[in-house]
Amino acid sequence: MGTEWWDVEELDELPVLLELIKVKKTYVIGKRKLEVIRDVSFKMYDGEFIAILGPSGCGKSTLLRIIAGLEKPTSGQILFMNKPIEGISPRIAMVFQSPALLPWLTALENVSLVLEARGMDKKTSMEIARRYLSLVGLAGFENSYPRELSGGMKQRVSIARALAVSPQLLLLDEAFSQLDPLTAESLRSEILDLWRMGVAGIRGIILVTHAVDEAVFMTDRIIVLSSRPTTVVKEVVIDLPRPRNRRSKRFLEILDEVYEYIS
Amino acid sequence: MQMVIMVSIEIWIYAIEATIFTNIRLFLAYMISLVFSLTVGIAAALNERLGKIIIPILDILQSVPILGFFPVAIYLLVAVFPDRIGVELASIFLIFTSQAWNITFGVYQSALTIPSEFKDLAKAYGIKGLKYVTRIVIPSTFHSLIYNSMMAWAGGWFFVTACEMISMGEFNIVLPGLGSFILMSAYKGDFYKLAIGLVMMLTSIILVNLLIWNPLLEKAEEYREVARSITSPTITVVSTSFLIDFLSAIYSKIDDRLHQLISKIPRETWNRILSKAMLILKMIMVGVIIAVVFLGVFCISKAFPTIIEFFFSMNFTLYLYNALTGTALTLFRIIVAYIISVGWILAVCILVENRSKLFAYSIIIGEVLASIPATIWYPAFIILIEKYGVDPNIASILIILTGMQWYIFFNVMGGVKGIPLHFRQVARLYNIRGRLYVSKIILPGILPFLVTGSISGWGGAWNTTILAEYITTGKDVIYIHGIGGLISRAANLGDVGGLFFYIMWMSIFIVLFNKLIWSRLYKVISEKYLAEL
Ligand SMILES: Nc1ncnc2c1ncn2[C@@H]1O[C@H](COP(=O)(O)OP(=O)(O)O)[C@@H](O)[C@H]1O
Ligand SMILES: [Mg+2]
Repeated sequence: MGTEWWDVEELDELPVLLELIKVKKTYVIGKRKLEVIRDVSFKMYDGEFIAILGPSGCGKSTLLRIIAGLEKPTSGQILFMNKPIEGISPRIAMVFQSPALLPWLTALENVSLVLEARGMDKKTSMEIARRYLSLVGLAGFENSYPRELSGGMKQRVSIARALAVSPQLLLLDEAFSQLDPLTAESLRSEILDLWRMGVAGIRGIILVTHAVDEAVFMTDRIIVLSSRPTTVVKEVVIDLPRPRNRRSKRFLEILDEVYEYIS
Repeated sequence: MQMVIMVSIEIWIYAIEATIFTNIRLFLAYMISLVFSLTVGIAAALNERLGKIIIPILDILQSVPILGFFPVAIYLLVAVFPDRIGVELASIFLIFTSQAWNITFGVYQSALTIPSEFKDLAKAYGIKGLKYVTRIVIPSTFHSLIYNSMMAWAGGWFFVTACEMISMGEFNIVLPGLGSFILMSAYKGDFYKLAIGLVMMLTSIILVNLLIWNPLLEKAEEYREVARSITSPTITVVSTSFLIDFLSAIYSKIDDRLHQLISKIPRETWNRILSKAMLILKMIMVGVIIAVVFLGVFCISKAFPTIIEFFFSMNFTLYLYNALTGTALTLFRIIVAYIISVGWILAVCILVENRSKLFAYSIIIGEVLASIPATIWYPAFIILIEKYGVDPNIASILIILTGMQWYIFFNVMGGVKGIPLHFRQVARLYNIRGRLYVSKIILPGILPFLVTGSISGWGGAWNTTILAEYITTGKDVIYIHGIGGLISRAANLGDVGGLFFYIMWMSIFIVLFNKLIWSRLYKVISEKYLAEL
């Protein structure tokens, strides 16, 4: 039958892009069981940029990997546009914690590879890859190898790669945590710019982070997770206009509020 | 005067020809090894079920003394093909068997341990099938592939010389090549020709290293690109980037063509072709098995009376006695050679581990020395033993050493390189030096590699005993009692029963030895030390 995202029942709200229902994850390592995610449910609306915030090791990456289809939840369901996710969805792209660039391919080839994997011919995929590289400010570095790029540039290639496949949902796993503060800050504002301009038809972004400040600065809503085994502690809506001022009273208030939930 | 020059030019031309022949043999064998290793290693790593079948088979093949089977291979191939072609095929087959298993294990291991981030990447972006293999798996195995190829090439020299001069009972054949050129000159005592031969050999070894292995290894280091190595440990003597460019251009051409070809075929047809191919493959396998069984039954039934007669004529008590005493003596020699190898290799390794230039040079020197086949020392040993009364055991141990130490050397050196940079930095920071530094940082770092190298080294040693315990230059023969010598002697005297018995004995002994000792040791050590890295 298949319902489409626009004919949702609750019309009092925006259409739901992604919904997690009672997601649980327990790893079994030999005889030991490691309960990582106890119970996580939340909704994400169309056009939203949300953050998943939690202490290190609480299972944020695991949750994101489940959403990306890289891992199966032990129980629970994930609906993307009201349909259960089965395996990898071509409409969801992920930027990993490490850039995960193949050292034997140039920046351009790293991006075009994922397009070729989707059946695009070599020439077109090269063209598109070039476009996205220049979008993230890497024009002129197409033929550089990852080892010749700085940490920030590598992460940019990784972002270009995710954007190039025109995803509807973009997942960022601590995309800025391994960068120096200045590079991280400029990459943050670039992501926000891309988001505002509505590049590549992205309809939602999930940013996983353990940095409260980053979450409040960038996103519309924060899902605060407890430490392991993780549950949702609180959802905090950030009703600040963009660009945001980190010194504003309201910003600091929200920051304090979130810090309270996390500790 | 003119005559002398004429002759000498002829010798040079002849030597060059011989060099080319030998290198072609090596090249062909290596190419077959390469294709075999990549397909079998990757298939075993990507398909768990295949891996469960392939790996134990390779394990046994690796521990079997190849040189011992060489006479068998010759008997079979010469029976099917004309003499020269049969022997050529046998020699290529022998070199292949000396190279393929090591490279395959390396490929398998590194394909199995592809970084999880690359696996995630492939999964998340749907990079699969052939694309996954050509863009992610093969490049991931590249470092191990090149490193092991380098070792295999050196080992190839060892074996190519062993099979260019064959004498088995009545059957004597000399293949034109550098190995036979060197050996014949040595036996004839023609030192001028011997010198030319050695020069040609060293030149081609060094050239191949500088022009091919070294640049490839450098590239491979770049592919590994992790923060765990000495900075830039290879040296560039000549710029050979054109070769790399050329090879990678060919690689991506083939890759593209393959994909074009595959993408032209619609998915359904493709699936149908695949399942058909699998079916045909299965049928062929079943067919081959049935054919082999039938042939075996036919041959045995035909030859049954002869076999029975043969079986009863075999002097089992003598064979058994020989095998038992021989194995004990051989084991003793190998242990001595092993102690010597580990001693000097650890010393070198501690000396160069923190000096990247010296490290790179020692690799090249090792590569050249490793390529020098033990057999060229035969004439010298014979003189030493017969004229100067040197204990033949010493000669035997020295030859075993040449067939053993380099596996250990290259593995340990690879391990040294793998010691994470931050370990060293921590050591420097806290002033950990001397004995403490060696025992707490260097030794634990290389121990798993020492064990891997030891396994290969012992395999090499068993194999080498076949050459080391039966030193012959055609007319002079020195037999040194041991299981390897027994095999050689049986082959030389045409004692088929003995040959068969000793080879089986040795193979089973080695397999058991590996299972009981090395496998366990490897498990313990790798669990204890490898996880930390
Ligand atoms: N494949 C796995 N097998 C077993 N345990 C895992 C696996 N992946 C993650 N874990 C464990 O789950 C916990 C959460 O990991 P992760 O999701 O990476 O945390 P975070 O991203 O929040 O720092 C950690 O304790 C980690 O050891
Ligand atoms: Mg994480």
